[in-house]
Formats: sequence, C-alpha cells, structure tokens
Amino acid sequence: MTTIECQAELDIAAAGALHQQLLGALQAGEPLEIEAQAVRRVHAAVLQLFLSLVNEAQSLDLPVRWRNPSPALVESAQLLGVADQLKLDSA
Amino acid sequence: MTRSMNPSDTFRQEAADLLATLETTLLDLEETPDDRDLIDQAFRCLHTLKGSGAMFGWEALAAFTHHIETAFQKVRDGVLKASRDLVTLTLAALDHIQVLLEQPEQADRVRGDALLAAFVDLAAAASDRSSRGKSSLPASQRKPGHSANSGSERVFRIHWRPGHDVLALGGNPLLLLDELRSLGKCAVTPMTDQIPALEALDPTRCYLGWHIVLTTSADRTALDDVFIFVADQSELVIDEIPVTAETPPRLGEILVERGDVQAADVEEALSRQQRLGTLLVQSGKVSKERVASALGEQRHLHEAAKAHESAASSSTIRVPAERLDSLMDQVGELVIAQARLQQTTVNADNPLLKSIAEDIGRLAAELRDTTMGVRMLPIGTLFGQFRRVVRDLSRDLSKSVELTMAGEDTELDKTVIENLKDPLVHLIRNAIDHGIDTAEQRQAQGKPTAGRVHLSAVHSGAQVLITIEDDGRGINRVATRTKAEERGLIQPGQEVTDAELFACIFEAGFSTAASVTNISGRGVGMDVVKRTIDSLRGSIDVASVANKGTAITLKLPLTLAIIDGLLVQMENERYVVPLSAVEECVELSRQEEEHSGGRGFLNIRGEIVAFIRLRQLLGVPGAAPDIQKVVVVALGESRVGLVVDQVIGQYQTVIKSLCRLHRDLEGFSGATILGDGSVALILDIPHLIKFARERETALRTV
Repeated sequence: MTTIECQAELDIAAAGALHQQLLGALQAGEPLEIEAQAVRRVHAAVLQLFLSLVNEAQSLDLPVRWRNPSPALVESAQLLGVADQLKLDSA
Repeated sequence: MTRSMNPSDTFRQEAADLLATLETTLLDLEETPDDRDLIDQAFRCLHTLKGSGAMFGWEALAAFTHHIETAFQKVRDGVLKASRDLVTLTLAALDHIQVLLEQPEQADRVRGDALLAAFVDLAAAASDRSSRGKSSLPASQRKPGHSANSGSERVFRIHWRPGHDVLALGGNPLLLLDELRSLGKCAVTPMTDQIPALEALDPTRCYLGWHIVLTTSADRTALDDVFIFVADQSELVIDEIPVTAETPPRLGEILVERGDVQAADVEEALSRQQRLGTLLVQSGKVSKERVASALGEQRHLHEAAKAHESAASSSTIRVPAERLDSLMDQVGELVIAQARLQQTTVNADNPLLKSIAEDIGRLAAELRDTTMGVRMLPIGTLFGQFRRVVRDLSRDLSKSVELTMAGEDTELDKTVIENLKDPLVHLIRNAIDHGIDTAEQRQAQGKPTAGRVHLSAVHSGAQVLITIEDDGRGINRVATRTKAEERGLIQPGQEVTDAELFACIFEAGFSTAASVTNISGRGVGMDVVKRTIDSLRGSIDVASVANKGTAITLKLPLTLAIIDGLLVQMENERYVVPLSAVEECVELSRQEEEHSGGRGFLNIRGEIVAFIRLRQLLGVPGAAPDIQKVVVVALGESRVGLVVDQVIGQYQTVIKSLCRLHRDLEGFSGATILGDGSVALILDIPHLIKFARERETALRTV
C-alpha cells in the first residue's frame, strides 16, 4: 500500500511536484491511498493529474482509495464534473 | 357595466399582496435565518415594491422601500445577518409602508426616518463586524438569479475545450465553471478522452474539455462574458436550445442534432428497443460521456419545459370582488328562473320543452357550482396573517408561543373568510392571554415551556370546522359559574352542562379576568365573535379541560349564497330544510303518532328518534293529514325528526336574507323564491331544535 499525502494548496505550481510523486507511487505497483484531508484549494490541473492516475491505476488493476477527502476537494471535483470518475462522490 | 380598475388601484392591490408575502417570508426567515431562498424572496418583494411604486408615482413609498432593499442586498451579500432584530425592524417598516400605501397623508415622517436610521445603524454595525472578519461568499455559494425571472428561463448548450496552454497562461477552468454555475442550473460533463497516460502527461497542459448545459435567466451576453478571456484560445460553441412547452426532444434527436451520431444509427438502435444510450455506446458509435452529457441536456429540457407548462397553467387574472358578487347574484336569479321553467314544464304536455328545461337545469347547476368554486379561497390566506399576531402578542406578553396550523388548503367562500378574520383574532388573543399560562406555571405542571396554539380547518359535509386549540390552563369553571350567577345567567344551584356553562362566555360584557390588559379581559370580543359566527349561519363549540387546554370549534357553512334544500309543505306554506342536514324521510301514520303516546318519539329501525311537530312549533292552523312525513335531520351526534305534511322534493335554494324586521326571528336562516314566485322560509335546524327544546322545557315546568 502506497500512501500519497496531499498538501493544503494544490495549485498549478504544486502540480509538477505532485506529478512526480504520483508517478513514483504508481511505479511501486501497490494499491494506492490518497490522504486528502488537508486540501484547502485545488487547481483544475491537479484534478486532471488525479484523473490520469485513476485511469492508469484502473488499467493496471490497482485499487485507488481516498482517505478523508476534504470538502474543498470534493466540491471542486464536482464543479469540474469529474467527481464521479475520480470516485470522489462515494468517498 | 363594471368599471375597470385604475393603475393606482392595481398597484395598491399588488403592493398589498407583496406585503403579505413579505410578512410571511420574514416570519419564516426568523426561524431559518440562513435560508437563501427566503432571503432572495424578501429581496425580490422589496425590489418589486420599490420599482412598481416609483412607476405608479408613489415616490415616498419607493424611497422608503429603497433603504430596506439596500439592507437586504447586504443580507444577500453575506455582509448582514438576517437576525431577529432585522426581522422585527423590517416588520415595523412594513407597517409603515402599509400606512404610506393606504393613507400617505397620515404617514408619520419622524417614525419613518427613525426606522430608516435603525436600518442604517444595523447595517453599519454589520459592516464593522465583517471588515474585521470578512466572510464574503464565493460565487459558488451565491444563489443564482440576481435578476431572477423564472418566467424567462433559457437553456444553453456549451461545448468548451480550452486550448492546451490555458493553464500555463494562468487560466483555471474551475473558476470559470464556478462563474457559470452562479448564472443558473448547470450540468457539467467532462470530456476526458484526451488525457494521456500519467508518464506522458504535462501537468501544465490542459487536456480536458466540457459539455455544459445551463438553464438560466441570464442572456447570451452574460455567457459570453464568462468566456471572454479564454474564448480566443478555446474551442467554444454556445447554442441556445429552444424550450417549448411541447414534448422536449428525445435523446436520439439531441445526439443527432449535436452531430455526435448519425440519424440512421439512432433508427437502428431504436429498432432493437433497448436502452438507447447503452446501445449506442456498446456499438461504439458514441462515447459514454457524450451520451451522459446528452442525457443531462435532456433532463434540463424536461425541467425547463415543465416550468414553462406550470407557468402557463398557473396563470391567473385579477378580478374585482364586486364582479364575483354580481356574478353570484345573477347565477342566483338564473337558478330561480330555471326553477320556474321547470315548474311550468311539469304542467305542459310538451316533451321537447321538457328536454330543454332539463338541459337548462343541468347547466344552471353546473354554473352554480363553478361560480361558487370561483369564490372559494383557501383559508391559509387568512391563517397566514395570524403568525404576525401570535408573534407580536407573545413578545408583548413575554410568553413563548408556538403557532401550528393544519388544513390551510381548506376552501371557504370568500365572504365567510373575510368575516372570519376578526373573530379568529379575538379567539387567538384570548387563547394566548388567558389560555396559555406563564412559563413558570407551565414548568411546574411539567408542560413544555413554550405554549402552543393550533389552528386547524377541515371539511365536514357541507360545513367547515375551524378549531382554535391551546394547551393552556383551560376555562376556569368555578370562576365562570360565579360570574354567570352574579350576572343572573345561571340560577344558584342550577345544574348546567359544560356546553351551557361555556355558552355564558359569549354573553356581552362577560369576563372572568381579574385584570384588564390591553389585549383582552374587557369582556368585549367574545359576544362579537358569537354574533359574527351567527350571522354566518355557523355555530360555536367549546371544549375545555383544566390545565390541559381549550378548544373552540367554529362550524361554518361552505357558502352563504346557494344551498341544496329539501322542500316540505304544511297546509299551503312551504319551507326549505337544508339538504346537508337531512338523513332520511319516513312516514308517520296517525296510528303510529297515537302509539307514541304524544311523547314525540319514533322508532326507526330500533333507534329512538325524538320528533318535533312543525305544525305546532310554527303555529300552522288546520288539521294534519292522516299520513304525515318525518324528515330526519342530523344535528351533531343526535338525530331529530321534523314532522311535516308533505315532502315535495329536492330544490336548489338561493338564499335571500330576511328583512331587518324579521332578522331576529329564531329558527329561520333566510327565505327563498320558489318557481311559482311564492316565498318559502329556510329552516335553521340547530336554532329551530334549540327553540323547540326550550319550549318543551318551559311547558314542562309550567
């Protein structure tokens, strides 16, 4: 199980670092858990990253689980219309 | 010819409606201060009031309202809270607007200015607070519809795929979608098909696109404004989808129109008759997302069409009440004329004439029902006004009182509703002032601290029962009895039933209150209540349990104008018994009458029913026929028979009130004109029976 800790401000500047972090996590080949309690703000670029992660994990048969996604994160995902695909609606 | 209304009258009426809505909204808002819909509604009412006022030349009113509107704008912006103080102040301001509306020359400028100053203070205090800890709402938490006008909702379909470098250039689609959502109802479906694998992904490039369906009252320009900074670098198509009240297009039609799929594919899929969307996706003709998006669009169109339809079907017109009254009068005359026609055809040997008379009879009855229906209003319009009464009273008396209601939809004749207001206000005031005990007393008895007053209305046959119930201390029987004896209403030592005892409280000048407050206790009011209810041909029941509460039930007829009656005859005089009271008719032969031993009881299928000889009661001369008829009427729980010579039959009765000279005659509620032009009296059953019982008692005691 690989856990990805999210920081509070997931803006476009944070996207680069998060991209690398996600790639690393994916390469470990273990089920993924994203700890998202701290997220206060999230950029569309970051949600796009998560989408790619979830798609790819799915094709690799790796389960992805959200832990305590913050309301800010869920609301942004809903606004972008991707909450369903990110499985954030049921989280 | 009835005169048409001048614009000033129109505004007055509109303003009165707005003020009533506003009052209800404010009272609701007091309970749920964070309800955005209520805040918006209050704001809209004020805004319309101001706008129409200025348009029709009510400048003082418009100027005054403007300041309150400003305060509510602050509430909408989240700067000011819809506090209890604000509601109280606004209610006071409404009273002032009412004066400005009805008697502008009597409006107290000083009071108006004081109210406005209070609004300014409240707003200033709030902006102090908010500048210290600003909490203005983001666009997403604002409700749509700043210029809300639900009548003109439009549906837009937006296809938006931002350029790849939109993120690098500082754009964030989230903010844009948030702005879009603030315009109205938004269904967002993403296009994620271009997102590459994580490794190949450039985090600063935008791979996403969206299909958006927006239902909004905003116009196209507002939409263009949202996309103004990204339009150049985006693939952007905005189409307005026409909304009609007709059936919205089907999914296939939408997909074809959007160019997502060929008409032939749809046809083919339809022929297989499974879920169209699933089929199209399975056959690879269209992506799942596109189908989901199209489905979202369909849903929007469905809802928009429904809104259109209900807007169309709920369209109303405003008609002056006098026109309805004169319509009712004319229908009444028509019913009388129809009765004459029917009477004439009975004697004429002309089948064609008879069939026409029957048609006219049917039409007249339908017209009567429709006209009466037009005059019906839900009693909720009246009940709603009492929330303010209860609120203000409980403040004045420092008693916490909760008002609950049931049966607000119950409909009653407009005239009845208008006449009911004063009696109900009296009863509610009484319930709160005398009935509801103080918080300490209530606690001592283990009751909830807050008192409860329950208003309810329910149909019961041709009557409407309106009950005012409180959970207070109940009517004090000892005090009532003492007072009644003092006033000579009851003899000392006389045995009385609860009903008889409680009837005393409706006597003029009767009060058991030790202290007179400015609310009640002066002994004025209950007699007025009784008189009003009597004049509406209604009755009052009182039930009271010590320390549990009091329930006062008003029984009122549905309408005052026309009733179905049963025509009966004695000698040459005819009378009408309201059909709603009639249970059955039986024969009474001379033997049976003699068999009953003159005691006036009849055995109907094992049940003993007392009967009253109307001949005797009404002093009809002559001898009764060998076989008389008994009309059995129901009076609450009991049944009483009325002995008459002959039952003629059912008859639509237009009630004409008795002239002033005869108005006090007990036992008759009015008169009607029969088909042959003669007059028949309408029997007032409850009073008639009461009169008969009193006579009986008097005879026995002599």
